[in-house]
Amino acid sequence: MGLLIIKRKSGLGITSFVAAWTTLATLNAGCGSLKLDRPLRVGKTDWPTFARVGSRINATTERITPPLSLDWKYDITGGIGNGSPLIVDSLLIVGNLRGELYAINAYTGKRRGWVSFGGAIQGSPVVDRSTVIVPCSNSRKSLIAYNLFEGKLTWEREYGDIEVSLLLLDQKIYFGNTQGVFYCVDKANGEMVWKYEIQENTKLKGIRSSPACEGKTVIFGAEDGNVYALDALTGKQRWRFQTSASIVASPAVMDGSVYIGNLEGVFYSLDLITGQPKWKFSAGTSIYANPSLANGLVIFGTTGGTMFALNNDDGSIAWETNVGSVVNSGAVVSGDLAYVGTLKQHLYAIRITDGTTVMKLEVPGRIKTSGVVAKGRLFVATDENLVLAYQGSDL
Amino acid sequence: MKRQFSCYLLPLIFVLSASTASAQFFYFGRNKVQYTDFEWHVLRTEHFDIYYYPEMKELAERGAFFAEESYKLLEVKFNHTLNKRVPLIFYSSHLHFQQTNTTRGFIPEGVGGFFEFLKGRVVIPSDGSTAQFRHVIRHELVHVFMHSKISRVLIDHRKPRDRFPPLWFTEGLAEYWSTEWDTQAEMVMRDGVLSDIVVGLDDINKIYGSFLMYKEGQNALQYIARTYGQEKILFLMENFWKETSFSDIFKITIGKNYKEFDEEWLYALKKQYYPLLAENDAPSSVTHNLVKDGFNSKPVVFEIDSTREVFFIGNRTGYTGIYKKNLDDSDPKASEIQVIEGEQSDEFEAFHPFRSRIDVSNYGVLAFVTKSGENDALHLYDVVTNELVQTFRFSSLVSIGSTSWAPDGKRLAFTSIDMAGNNDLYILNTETRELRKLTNDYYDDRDPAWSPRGDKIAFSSDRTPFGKQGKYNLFLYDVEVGTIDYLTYGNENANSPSWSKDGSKIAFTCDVDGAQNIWIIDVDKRFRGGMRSMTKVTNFTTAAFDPTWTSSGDLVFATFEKFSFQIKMLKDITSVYDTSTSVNLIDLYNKEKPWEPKSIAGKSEIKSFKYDGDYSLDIAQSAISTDPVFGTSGGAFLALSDLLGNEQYYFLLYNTAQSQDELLSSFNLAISRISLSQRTSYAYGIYRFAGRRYDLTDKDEFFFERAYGGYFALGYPLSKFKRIETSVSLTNSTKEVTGAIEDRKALLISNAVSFTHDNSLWGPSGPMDGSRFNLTLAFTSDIQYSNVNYYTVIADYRHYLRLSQRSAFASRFWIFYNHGKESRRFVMGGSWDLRGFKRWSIRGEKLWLVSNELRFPFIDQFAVRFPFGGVSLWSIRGALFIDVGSAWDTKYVETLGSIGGGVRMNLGGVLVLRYDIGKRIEENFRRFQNGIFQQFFFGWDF
Repeated sequence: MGLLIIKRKSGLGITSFVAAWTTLATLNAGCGSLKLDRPLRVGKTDWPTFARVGSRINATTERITPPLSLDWKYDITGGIGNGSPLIVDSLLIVGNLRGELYAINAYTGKRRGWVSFGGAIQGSPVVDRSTVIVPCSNSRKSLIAYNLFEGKLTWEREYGDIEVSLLLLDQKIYFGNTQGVFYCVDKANGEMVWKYEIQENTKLKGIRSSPACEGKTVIFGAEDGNVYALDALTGKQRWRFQTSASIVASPAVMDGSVYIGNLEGVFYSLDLITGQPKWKFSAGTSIYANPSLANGLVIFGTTGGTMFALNNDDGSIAWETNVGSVVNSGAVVSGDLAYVGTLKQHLYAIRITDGTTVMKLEVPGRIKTSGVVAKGRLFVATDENLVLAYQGSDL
Repeated sequence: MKRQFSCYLLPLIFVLSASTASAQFFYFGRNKVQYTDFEWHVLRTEHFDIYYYPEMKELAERGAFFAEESYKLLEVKFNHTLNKRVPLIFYSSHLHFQQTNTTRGFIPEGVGGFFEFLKGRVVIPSDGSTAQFRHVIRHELVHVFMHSKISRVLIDHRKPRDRFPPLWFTEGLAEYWSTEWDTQAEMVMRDGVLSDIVVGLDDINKIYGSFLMYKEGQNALQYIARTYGQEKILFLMENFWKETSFSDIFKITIGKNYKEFDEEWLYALKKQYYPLLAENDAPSSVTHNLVKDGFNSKPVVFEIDSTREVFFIGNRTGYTGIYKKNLDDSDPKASEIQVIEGEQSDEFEAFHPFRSRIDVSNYGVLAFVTKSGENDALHLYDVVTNELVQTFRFSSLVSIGSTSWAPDGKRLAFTSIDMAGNNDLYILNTETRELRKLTNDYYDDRDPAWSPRGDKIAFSSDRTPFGKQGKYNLFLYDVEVGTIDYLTYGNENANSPSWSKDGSKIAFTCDVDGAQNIWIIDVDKRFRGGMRSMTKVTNFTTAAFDPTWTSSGDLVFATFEKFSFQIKMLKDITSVYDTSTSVNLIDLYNKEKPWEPKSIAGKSEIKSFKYDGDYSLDIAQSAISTDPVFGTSGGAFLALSDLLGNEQYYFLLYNTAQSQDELLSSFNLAISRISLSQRTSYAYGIYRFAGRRYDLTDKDEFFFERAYGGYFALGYPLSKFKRIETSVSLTNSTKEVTGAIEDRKALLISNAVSFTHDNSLWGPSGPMDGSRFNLTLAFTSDIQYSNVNYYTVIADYRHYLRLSQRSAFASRFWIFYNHGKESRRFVMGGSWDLRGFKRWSIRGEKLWLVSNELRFPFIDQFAVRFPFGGVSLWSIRGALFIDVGSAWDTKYVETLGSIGGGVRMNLGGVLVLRYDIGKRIEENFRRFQNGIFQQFFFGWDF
């Protein structure tokens, strides 16, 4: 920060010192400016968290129907991680890999403000009322709560590198870090409530799978290949299931079943209570993407470029469709269509009833994150630093 | 994968030097000769633009299939796609590959391909093996994907893209993700661990760039994948933005720093390999050592009367050649005799020590192969009379492999790669010169060995179902009938067959049990069902190569140990064979069809068209410089070239104005074109220069000069070592000399022709062997005002007498002569020529210099270790010298000289620091100076 010489004989010197430090502290806390003119109101069809809800089903009843037309696009000046943008009230909230959080008007594409936290925002934040809690990696503090209405930091804590999307459940925030520790912290002040560490973690197996929940159970996968189910209140392990390879994809939970895939390309359905496998399916190539649940189907993509839809009761194939390139992100289900992006810069719309490709759209940049359907639009982020908003023919 | 800048500036420097004065500093170097006129086509696939020539179309289509196949695989492994099409440039042989202009430098024998990231080009030769071609394609594409992935990670996080993972990681991953852990890799690691030369990642810079480093990198990554998870390799790249040092990235990804990881990994290697010593031996501990020093391969035994000699390809000095040694010499220190001196002449331009076996006929004629001009040549040398008997060159055959004499001493079997890239078997009748092609397909046929009975030729080939994995089996070609039968069959590599003198047995190398050892088949023995058996006669921990028999049943072969190739002998191998219990049966009954490589021809999305140039920017640079004497100048430089590197354009624009009213008159512009696509290269350009100058060669004048004009230059390489160059320039020059009454105007035409020879071999600080010579004749004349009119003669001869492996005696002889009106002066003095005198302080229109210098190793390593780290300096060399010379205009004044010693230190292969100390010899060699001189500068030895 440099050396300041304080002139003891002059009060001006002290004032200068304080002013300089205040300025520097402010700068350190976050550059940019993000302050809303009213509190946020979270709507029923909003996406205040990754995959819309804590169970991570990644589906919505709001319909977007092709053909799509580009409504607006915005350059957020940094790459985008694996967390998708959020839609709350009229805002699209997205973090980038430069550690900057943007708030953009979802209808017009105009920036409302931005703030920098340093490091990188890899996963999706979570929004509760007007507070956004942001996970960071390789930054000064890795968990930051920022009040959008007041335009200031509420609290910030250090919990190691966080590269997952956060889970908010009953005023608690849940997440794992790259050192293999899973935390529950108080949303009000960021203080730890409990933590769970991967046992005998001599190989530094981290947690890159965003947690999901159903009831009072929090579920996530880990690089050690296990699926963990913890009691949300106490952090005690309810069960642990060993799969055949590392897991970086996030699980989805519905009706007492947990759905998750691993890097060997094996997709599992596990009993939420016992952790016992109900069925498993070999997809052939690695699974990075989180599954989507809709219409009795579990839909996911693989690095081999295949979209699978399995019947969620027995894991049998309902359909499979080749999308030509690596799928890294979950499909967002909108009505009877699943929108999914690939690394080959294509956005597909696939009919979930039979796997027919209804639309293949070229986009500027690789798609590595799930899209979001809200406010009459499909929002997609690409690695050309762009957030794109498409309107369907429904409007 | 380095960008090379020197050639970009050469044409401009040439242009700037209207005279040849500056040529005294740089006119040597070998030649990359464009022998072959390639007609380039482009094959467009889904992700690649493949550049090939029509003769190799089928090979290109196979390569296209492999490229797309690799793309799909690597897309998944890297979890990444490429967003640009990748140019792949294929060559059907290594000899063609050596002609590529995509890189400025020469391509050594061992380079299998490269990725050049400036234009994103991948350049790959075939060596006749389809499986190896596939491997190299995938290896280079791993580099492409890695480069793209790392760039993406840095861009996403807005980090500067000025760094890349270390070489052990990039090459290790390229190997790990392009091939299986094979016998060769196993051999290198076994040797490294058991010979205690393997190093950990913390010390891996000690073996930087070596093949051991490649394999250690591959092994380390394999270990990480096995122990920590395959995903960690991806995370090492995805975490690349988090730290600037890769060792820190390693720590946050694996959880251990290099030292901690090395403890664990090296221990695991010891656990894996030390137990081998229970059942196997290092070659040196169980064999008779014949040749140890340097690099040695491809032995063959010749016996005449009672003398037994082994002939082999060797390299001790930096030049590869053929040597011989008496097998029965009881003195282990008896040195070898060089039979053929290679790599210094056009005739024996280069050997292929890994590829081409040599053979000696029953009548004492040695057959060997060297590169000679455009293609390989087959030479016959009488080892009794020590004369070169004959040389065969074949216009349709590019690269020749191993040779084998028929027992009649008239016919030779050999393998050769043609323009299409196919490696087939041939018979040459050396008397009638008839060439007969025995095989004609895309299978890779190698190592022919003619039976002493004359009826069969054994050879190694991938024409098996296992060829897809790059495996080779042995076959027998019936010379009379023309049929091919299996001799071995299995998912292993069987190579280098060699017949016993009675023709009953074949010794060969095979890696069926994980290491390449020597096995023997009794050819006359068959079991029920047509089965054969093979018996193992060596149990080496590392590997054996190229066995050859003596008439008394001894076996001579090459081995790999302590990272060197040595020649060994095992006596009475027949008794080892008779008592060995390692016997494998070869089932020749249940054979499957040989593999058929796939290609990508015929698909609708494929397009093929003739290449007519694809240009892109190489460099765009702007600069501002300021000088206390000449002021400030600023400008920009652009360089463009086509994808194949054959056509280059340079644009230079800058301004030296010191005030606004000088702006227009002070523009400098130069445009040049250089064409390297044909054997005769040419360059031309136009220029306009204006600015203040101080020309120390021209009577210490300060002046402002405006000059504009053009030039044309031609270069014709006679061979790799010799070339002729000629140039002409026309310059209109106006000089406003400070203090002069009138401007000096001139319309200068300058013509020059030069001959250059260079076969020198370089050591750490300069040439150590060979010689260099340049003779330049030029004439410069003012054709309008007659203000200038002089001719120039430059003769520069340098010779390097090798005294030992690391020392040499270097001599230099200069005559620089300008004569005529306003002839320019040459300059001398300083660390680069007449030492002891101030740099460029000796000037004259005529100049001569003789230098003699003894070059020797001084300090091999100097290391200082502090608690927080250390510094190591390597290869500090010493010199003792005497320089004598003089310079004058019209009247010879005095002879000057100096004597002294010095040290030189090479910094990273880029710069040599030099320090000299000594005494000047003054007053026409009558006395030494009082005191001493010291000079510290940079620059390579002459």
